[in-house]
This record gives sequence, structure tokens and C-alpha cells, in this order.
Amino acid sequence: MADDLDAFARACRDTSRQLRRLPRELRAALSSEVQPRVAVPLAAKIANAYAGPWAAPLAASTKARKLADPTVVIGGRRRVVSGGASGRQLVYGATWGGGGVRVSTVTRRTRNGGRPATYKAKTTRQFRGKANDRIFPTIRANGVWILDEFADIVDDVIRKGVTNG
Amino acid sequence: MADKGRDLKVAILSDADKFDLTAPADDLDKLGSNAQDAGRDLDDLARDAGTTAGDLNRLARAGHDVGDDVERGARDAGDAVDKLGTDAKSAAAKVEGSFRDIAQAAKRGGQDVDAGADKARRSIDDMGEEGQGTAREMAASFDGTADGISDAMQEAATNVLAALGPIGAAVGVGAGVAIGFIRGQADKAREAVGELVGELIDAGGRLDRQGVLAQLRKFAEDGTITDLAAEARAGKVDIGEYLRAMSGDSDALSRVRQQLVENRKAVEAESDARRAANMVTTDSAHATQDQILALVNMGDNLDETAERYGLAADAAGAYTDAAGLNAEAVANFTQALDDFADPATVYSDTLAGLEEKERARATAAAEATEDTTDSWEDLVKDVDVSVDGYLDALEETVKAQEEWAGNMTTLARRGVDQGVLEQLARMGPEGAPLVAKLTDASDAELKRMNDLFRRQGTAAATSTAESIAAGAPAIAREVQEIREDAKRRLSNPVNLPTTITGPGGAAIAAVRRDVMNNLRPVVIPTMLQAVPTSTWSRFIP
Repeated sequence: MADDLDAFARACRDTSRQLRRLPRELRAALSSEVQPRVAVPLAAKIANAYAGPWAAPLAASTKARKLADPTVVIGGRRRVVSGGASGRQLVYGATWGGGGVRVSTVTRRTRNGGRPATYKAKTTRQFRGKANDRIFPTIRANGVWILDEFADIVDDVIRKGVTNG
Repeated sequence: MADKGRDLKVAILSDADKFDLTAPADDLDKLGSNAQDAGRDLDDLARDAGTTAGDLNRLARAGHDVGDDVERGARDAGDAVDKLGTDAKSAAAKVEGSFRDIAQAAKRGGQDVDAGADKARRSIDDMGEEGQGTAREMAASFDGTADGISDAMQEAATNVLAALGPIGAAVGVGAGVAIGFIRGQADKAREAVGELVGELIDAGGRLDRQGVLAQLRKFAEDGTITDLAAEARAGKVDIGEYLRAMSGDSDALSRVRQQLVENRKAVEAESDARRAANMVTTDSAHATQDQILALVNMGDNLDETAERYGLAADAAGAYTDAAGLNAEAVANFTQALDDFADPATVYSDTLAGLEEKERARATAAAEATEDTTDSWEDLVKDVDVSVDGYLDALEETVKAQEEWAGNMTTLARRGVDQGVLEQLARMGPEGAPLVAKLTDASDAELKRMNDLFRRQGTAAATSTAESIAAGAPAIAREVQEIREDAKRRLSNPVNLPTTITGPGGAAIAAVRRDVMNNLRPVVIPTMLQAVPTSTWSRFIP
């Protein structure tokens, strides 16, 4: 089954590539349908799914892009919390957590010659233990709906284009 | 603070592998090892528990069928470990959670894939059938216009190329995307085909418009057009040019041949260079071989086409000759009619007859006189043709013409060869008695006459057609059919007028006009197809 799923994922990527090769007008027509019918509802679902102290700023930072491939972007440079952090600064930590340990190895010259020394540095601790991915599970839960809706849109747009063209 | 310097962007199709597509499979693998671990723990904690690690393993490995079984198994596992201690419960709960997630994901993923695969298969089958159907419809509904061809080509290309998107077809996307994608290509195909037809017609090549349409229709019907395009692509030759060549355009034939020679040289030079650089690999050797084979194959196809169209050209020549003979026959027939019914000739003949009579009378009178010096010249009187006499003579002539034309029609209807009719027409009024007698001849006699005339002068066109028949039966059959058709048309009843409505020139003109009007629908279309305008236009009154 893994092979089937891999093939399916490859197929989706190929479709995405094909979308980029479409004539510009067709791509624009697709984008203007895909955004309101797929990307915006999906962004809303993700925004509703956030939990924890950063739910509101993250919800405000979740936007739908106008592209043929249904795309949601979470981030932005605008300050969304009182401390001055932007959505971009919040999303990674809120999703995957923080407070990890970064290990660095350097060579320091001593009387005994060169000797490697290992330094450990703490990464940001603000999100430590607070990894709470609500983005990908939401998309996963809506995967079938997204693909079905997207397929309908493509069919509609192409049919309309062929009929009018 | 974690700032990666960019927003988190999730594009569903591009990042499909991050969702429920490959993830369930990966998770299942992970579950397998987790379950084994948990199973070992559970084994240690309660060997007599209802669910063992083996059970979990089996469920985990169930793969595609993991859905309901796994959920059920997970519930059982949960129930079983409920009886165990807190640690065991915690471990089991972890596994249960994983099971539930994976079960849902796997079930959903499996259904998606199965449904997608079925949908893809159905879509591709449908598209394949539609493609074939459209090709057939296209062939059947050619209206002879360039627009008709390009519309049909566009439709066929759309249907066939749409089958190229199996991926999207799995979610119903591919067909739409592919159709959209090839719209531009179809437009190009429309232009190319329109251009091809236009060029062939404008170039006045061997194929006329009908020939081009017929050839394209044949290509489309038997699917050759796809093979030809593939060959051209393999041989790195312009597809339109190759199609033109294969349609019998002699200029394109020579151009493509030249191109093939150059391409082959290029392939060989490239291969030599690779050999010199010691870079020959099995793949490159195979590629070179394939390229050369493709070029040779194309060359063979072109030779075959040239031969076929050479024969066709000969056949067309023979047909033209035959049509020329038909035209000549019409000319002879018309001339014979002229000879029969030229008012001036009738007048002069009548006058000559009267003069002859007067001279005979004067000669007799001179012989009868006693004066030996009298000559018939002293006794001859001036003669003149009276109006009544002229009209009588004319009426007699017109009647004879009617009878002759009627007899010719009868002979044509009874199956007398065109060549024989021509010979009879060439005889003119002198042959009229023979024509009249032949109408009473038996079928056997007429057949014998046909044979004799045929042996006496076999037309060059016939021998050409026979030589073609020996070499190319199909073409010969076609030529024969054309000839038969022409013969059949010529032997149709001509419906010559049976009464003369007015005397003199008007009546004769009417006869001529009626004869030509009756012949025109039969002969002119035949001539239009093969004879230069200047040749046939003079036959139209």
C-alpha cells in the first residue's frame, strides 16, 4: 500500500507541475475559483482548529493564497501578539514546539594541541513542550473534501473554457 | 524566537505527501514497530491477556485491511489491557491511540486510493473509447472544409491526450487538467492541419483537395496519424512535413528525404564522436541504433509512398487520357451532328443536286436534238433552290439526324463500346446506314463488333491501365471503376428529341442544344475532374 500511496503523492505533485504549465488565462481562472471554494474554507478550518495561547494570533495569521494549487499560508510580518512577535515567528514554535538543544562542535587550540570541544546551546524555550500541530491534522482530515472540490473546480473551469473557447 | 525567515506555506497538491497519502503507510510501518514494542511490554505484563503482541503484529501487518479489523483489534486490545496495571494501561492506551488514528487514516487512504484507481481506470477506458469513437465520427462527418478537419482533430487530440493524465484521473483532476493543457496544443493542431490542407491545394501537388481529405481521413480512421507523428518525432523531422510527404506531396517527399539523410549523418557523426571519446555505453549504442532504425524505417515508408503515388499518378494519367478520349468522342459526335445538319451544307447539297439534275436533263436534251453542234451547256438553264425545296431537304436531313442520333443512343444503351461509338460517329452521315443496321443486330453480333473494334485499335489508356493493374491491383481497380463509371454515365439514355418543333436553322440549333444539354450532365463532371478547363469548356454551349 505504501507504494500505491507514494505513487498517488507523486501523481499529485505531477498534477501540481502540470498546473504551472497551463496557459496563464486558464491558470487565472482556476486560481479565482480555487481560492474561494477550497483555500479560504480550508484556512478557516485551520484557524478554528488552533488551540492554546497563540490560537487567536495564529488564526489571524492564516490566509488563503490565490493559486491554482489550493494553498494556505500561515505567518506574516505583522505583529500579532503584545510582545511584538509576528505570525511568522509564532507558527513554527506553536506547531512543532521549541526549547530544543543545539549542539555545536568546535576545535579549540590548547597547549596539548587541537582538541574538539562540544558546546550545547538552548534554543528558544518559549514553546518548550507546547508543540501543538493543528495545521496538518486539519488538512489531513479534510483531504478527501479538498481533492474532490478541487477536481470539481478543474472540471467546471475547463468545461467552461472549452465551451466558450 | 523561532523565525525561519519565511511563512509556513502549505500547497495541497505539491505537499501531498505531508498529509494522508504517504503518511498512513509510514505510520503503519511505525505502528508495526511500536506494536511490537508494546506487545513485548504487554507480554511481559500479562501473558494471559486477551490480546498479545502477536495479535497486534498481525493487525499491524494487515496493511490494506487494517481499517475495521484494526479498530476492532484496538478496542479489544484496550479492553484487555484495562485489566492490567497502570503502566500497562498507559502503554496500551498509546498503542490504542495510534491504532485508532492509523486505522482511520489507513481506511481513508485505502478507500481514496482504491476509489481513485478505479476512477482512473474508468476515466482512461472512457477516454480511450471516446477517442476511438470521435475518430470514427470525425472520419464519417468530414464536411470537406478545413474547419471541419481542424475541429475534428482538436476533438480527437483532446480525447486522446486527456488519457495522459492518470495521476489526476485518480482524483478526477487529470482529465480536466489535461484537456485544458492540450487546448493550446489543439489550437496549434488546428492551424497545422488547416495549413497543410491549404498548402497542398495551393501547391497544386499531385493530390487535389479531395485527395488530401481522403488521405487525412484514412490517416485518422486507421490511427496512422499517431504512428506517423511518432515516426517523425523519432526521426527528428517536422511532423507536418512528414504528413505532407506521406500524403504524396512530391516536394515534401524530397525535402523529408534530404532531411533524413542529414539526420542520419548527424546521428552517425555523433556516434563516431562518442566512440572517439571512448564514451560509448550500452544505452547510447541502443539509442543510436534506434535512431538509425527510425530513419531507415521512415525512408522505407517514403519510398513506398513515392511508389504508390507514382502509380497513382500514372493511373491519373490514364484516367485523364480516358477522359480525353471521352471528350474527343463528344467532339466527334458534335461534329457528326454538324455534318448532318449544317444548314449551309444542306443548301449547297440541294443546289448541287438540282444542278446535277439540270445538267443531266440538258445533256439528254442535247443528245436528242439533231443539231450536232448543240451542247448541253447551250441548253442548260439556271437553277435555284426554292424555299420549299430547301426546307424539304432540310427536314429530310434533320430527320436523318434524328434517326442517327436515336440509333447511336440505342447502340450505347445496348452496350456498344465507347470506342466503337466514336468510330461510328467519326464516319458521319456516311456511317448512318451502318448505324441504322446495327440497331437491328443481335447482341452476339454487337459483342463481336465490340471485340473486333477493340482488337483493331486498343487504346493507349487501356494498356497503361493494364500495366498498372499488373503492378498495383488496388489502383488498377480504382482506375477500372472510374472508367466503368465514365462508361456507365456515357451509356445512359441521352433522350434525344423526337420531334422538331421548327424548321430550318432554329430546329437544328434546338437539336444541337438538346443533345449537348443531355450530354453535359453526363460528360462534363467527368471531364471537370481530369481535363484542363480549356479542353472541356468549348463543349458547353
